[in-house]
Amino acid sequence: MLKFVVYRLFQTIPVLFVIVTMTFFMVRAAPGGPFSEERQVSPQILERMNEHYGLNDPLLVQYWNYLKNITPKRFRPDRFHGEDPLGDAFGIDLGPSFKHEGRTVNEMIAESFPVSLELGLLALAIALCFGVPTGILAAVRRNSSLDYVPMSTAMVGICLPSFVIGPIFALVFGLWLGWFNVSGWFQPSDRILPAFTLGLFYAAYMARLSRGGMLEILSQDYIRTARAKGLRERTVIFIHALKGGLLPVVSFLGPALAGLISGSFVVETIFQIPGLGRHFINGALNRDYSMVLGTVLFYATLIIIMNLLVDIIQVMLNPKLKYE
Amino acid sequence: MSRPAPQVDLPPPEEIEEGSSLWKDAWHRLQKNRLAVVSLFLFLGLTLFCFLGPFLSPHTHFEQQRPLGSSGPLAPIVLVTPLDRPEAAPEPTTLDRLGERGPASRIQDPDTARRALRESGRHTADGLLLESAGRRHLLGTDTLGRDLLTRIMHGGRVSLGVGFLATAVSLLIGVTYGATSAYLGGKTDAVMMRIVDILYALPFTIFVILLMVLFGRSLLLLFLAIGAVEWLTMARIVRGQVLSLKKMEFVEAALALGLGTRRIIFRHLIPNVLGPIIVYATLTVPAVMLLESVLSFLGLGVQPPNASWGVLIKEGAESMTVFPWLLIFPAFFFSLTLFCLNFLGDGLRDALDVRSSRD
Repeated sequence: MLKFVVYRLFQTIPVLFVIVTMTFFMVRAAPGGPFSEERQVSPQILERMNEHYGLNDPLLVQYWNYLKNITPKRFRPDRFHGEDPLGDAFGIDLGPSFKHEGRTVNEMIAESFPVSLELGLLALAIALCFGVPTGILAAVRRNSSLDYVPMSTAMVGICLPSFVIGPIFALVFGLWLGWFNVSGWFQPSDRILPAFTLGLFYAAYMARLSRGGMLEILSQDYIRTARAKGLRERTVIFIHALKGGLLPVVSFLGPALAGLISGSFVVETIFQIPGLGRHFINGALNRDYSMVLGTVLFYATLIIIMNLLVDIIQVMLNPKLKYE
Repeated sequence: MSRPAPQVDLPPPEEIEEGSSLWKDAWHRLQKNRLAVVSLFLFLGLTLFCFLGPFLSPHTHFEQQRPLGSSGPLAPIVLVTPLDRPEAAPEPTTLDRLGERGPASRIQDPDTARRALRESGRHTADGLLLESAGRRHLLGTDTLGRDLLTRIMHGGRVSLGVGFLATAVSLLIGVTYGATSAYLGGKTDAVMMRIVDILYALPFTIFVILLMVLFGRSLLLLFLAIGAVEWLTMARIVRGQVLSLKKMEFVEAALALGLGTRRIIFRHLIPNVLGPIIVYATLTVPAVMLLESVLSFLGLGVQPPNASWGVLIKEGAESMTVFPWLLIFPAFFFSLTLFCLNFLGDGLRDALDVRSSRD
């Protein structure tokens, strides 16, 4: 187990390296620079700004410096609370933002990521709490109205993308019924519409996955054996079938996470939420090199770690899978 | 001297029982799935509607009639001409907006004018000549006064086009890659699949977004970027299938005939994995369309005056508080298409008896 985790952790290093390299040169190859859209600045000032941010150095020198800056230099999880957790705890320096004067990318991620995380976790919770029980129920009561009605609804949920549901939710519940604010991220009630917008697709998808998984398991011999032993139906379903039946859902968690992140770009745009997704989009639009690199790197690390966790859970649930 | 041919009473030729091919079986099974068949025809209808519709429409997707901006579905159009300048081009407006906008705002008593227009189609009041234009916009117009129906049809062309072309790109790469990897096997296979694994770990949606932001928002780039993302799963599916096929006798027979590797892969192996490929392709199209519209929604995809369904939904969402139909109609067409494709994909999966590849 430990060997598997360590092996996989080492495997992430080349992946992250590829990501940094690709992003770095892609951003630099793009036309325009961080200061090209600025109001008319004199060439001297532009020169000084480029000098200040090290943009006059040869590209490879910049690349090398960046790699040095983002390499973790210490491991102090106890210093994780504060203005700059990434820098304090790991010694990672993602550099200053080119567009937000006097602010570092570290600070901006530390400030906006919790918002995105909250949104993502709420959406995931909605997906799990609504999707999985619905799917299990539909599988257990197969071909009844408890199967057809929720599953058809789930299909509708899959076909309504978040950028359709979001505005419609805002229109109906925000404007017409006046239950929630249309945008913003201040009161607890402001979380409800965005979280549902983001989570609904995944709830629907997980309902389908858990139904399929449960149906497959419920037709297996060992379930018949369990029933033949005279176990209560409840025990058969919750103790025997659930573990295998939810495997598809667990394997979907990895892609779901990546999807939640890109989905949050859209939802943050719809509901004007000050999360990391908007910083990423704006950073890319404004050629804020360090911001783009920092967020991509941050997201990539997050996705890779989450995929690793998902793999571990999967193996724990299904001993047939060996750590490959 | 000819002898008459001997008359033999032959039994009538037996009806040759036709063998049932995989595809025929699949078609029969698919026909039993009502929802899938309905989806198939609905989808074909939608496609025809989008591709042929613009030719039949009197409007174009870019022609603007600003005075008619955001008129409602089927709103009757009224042409307004000032009586003191009869030679001026009449300004269009809608019946319910008399007294509100443009020259028609001079009308003091819009209700009387409306009634008169409904009855006779002509009315003179407050120095203006009002005439019913007789034409209407079926789904209304957008904020710039462009016909919404035509824009939806045009947007559908772009969305469906991106969906199919990008899927084709991903099929081409994925199938070739997966089949080659599986057939060659051994170290080559290991290396090729390692590459896929590493690419899988990359946050590709983020890269597509980045690519679109940084390098102009061209449609071609969009195809390539999306196609390049979607081929990975295809490659894995095809590889799995080919791995199990390549041990079968027909491959051995092909080898014994002295066929080359390329011929075996493309003529013998790939045709045998068409089932899963078709099913997965059907499900890839909606996924691609979704990705394209996410990009367009963020303002990174198709650029105006060109439109895709994502662009239309974005524009609709911006003005939905006042003109909800601008959001509702494009969203309806988009969702309906996704619906059809998903149901069709599901139906095909059952019909072609493809085991769910999502385990």
